[in-house]
Amino acid sequence: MIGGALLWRQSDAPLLKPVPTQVSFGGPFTLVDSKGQPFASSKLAGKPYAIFFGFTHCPDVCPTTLARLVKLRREVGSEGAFQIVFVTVDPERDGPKEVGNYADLFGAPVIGLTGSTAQIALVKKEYGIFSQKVGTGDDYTIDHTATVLLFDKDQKFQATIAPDEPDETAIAKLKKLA
Amino acid sequence: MLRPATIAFALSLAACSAPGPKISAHDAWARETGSADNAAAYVTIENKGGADELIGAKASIGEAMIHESSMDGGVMRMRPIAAGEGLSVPSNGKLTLGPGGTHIMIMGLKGPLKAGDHFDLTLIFAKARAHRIRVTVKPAGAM
Repeated sequence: MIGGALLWRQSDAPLLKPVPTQVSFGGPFTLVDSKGQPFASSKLAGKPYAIFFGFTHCPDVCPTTLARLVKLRREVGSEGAFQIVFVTVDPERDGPKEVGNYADLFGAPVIGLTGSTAQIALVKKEYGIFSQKVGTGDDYTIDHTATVLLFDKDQKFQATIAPDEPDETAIAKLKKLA
Repeated sequence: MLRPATIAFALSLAACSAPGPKISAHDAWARETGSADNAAAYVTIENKGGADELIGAKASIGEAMIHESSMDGGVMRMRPIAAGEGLSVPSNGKLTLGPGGTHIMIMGLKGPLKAGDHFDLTLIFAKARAHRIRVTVKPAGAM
């Protein structure tokens, strides 16, 4: 009887979950660019963009994601196909110089952005990004959302690219942005 | 009841059936770095013998640790593997450390890594003798 009751509860559980509603991300922001100048999100208007949140002390997933975006952009078309935006979730260690050096590594235009703790907190909220510091001292790492968000030229949220998603589906989404 | 001779025979069989690992490592690389003082190194380890485990690493350029990246609900986490644990290098199989997964994290770099640089990495195994390899630094755009 107990087993039966558990089974019933388990199979019924998904129905109790809220029905997913249309989600949207994005919104206006002002951050700081690699030269230390204010960077308003309106500067991105007129061309689609792919935005990714990470940190420069992230040696594996962040450079892998940015390298992949650069590669996919070449496959979709030219460097003009869409903008690649990298926003740090670690403003404590990543100033304008750090995000600039990081963005410049990829041999193709990548916009590196940082900001005050409050500016970063706001943009993370707008874009549905989670991040959490792990560890103490100078060598801490950060758990963070590794999903890339895609916006069209009118700055409307269109789709996401997950790190483990095949290139073909990612390319199909990127082609739709133009 | 087993006679001592039977037990000794069984033990000698067990010893024969577990050949030592035959390890080779290749395609070791790391990405160029910016201002941060850490890097990830990737390598493919091949084993043409008995099962073994990769339990650690040493790098000529900083402190090396085995780290694992994992995804949970879109959130990426990176952690050192648990103390005393190793990564399985299966018998007649291979272990691939590649982007976005398990990698060798190197901390405390004295300067940035530039494409074309090389450094030494020593892989430490539970059974096989330590293996020293040369790691090539590739452009950051490498996959």
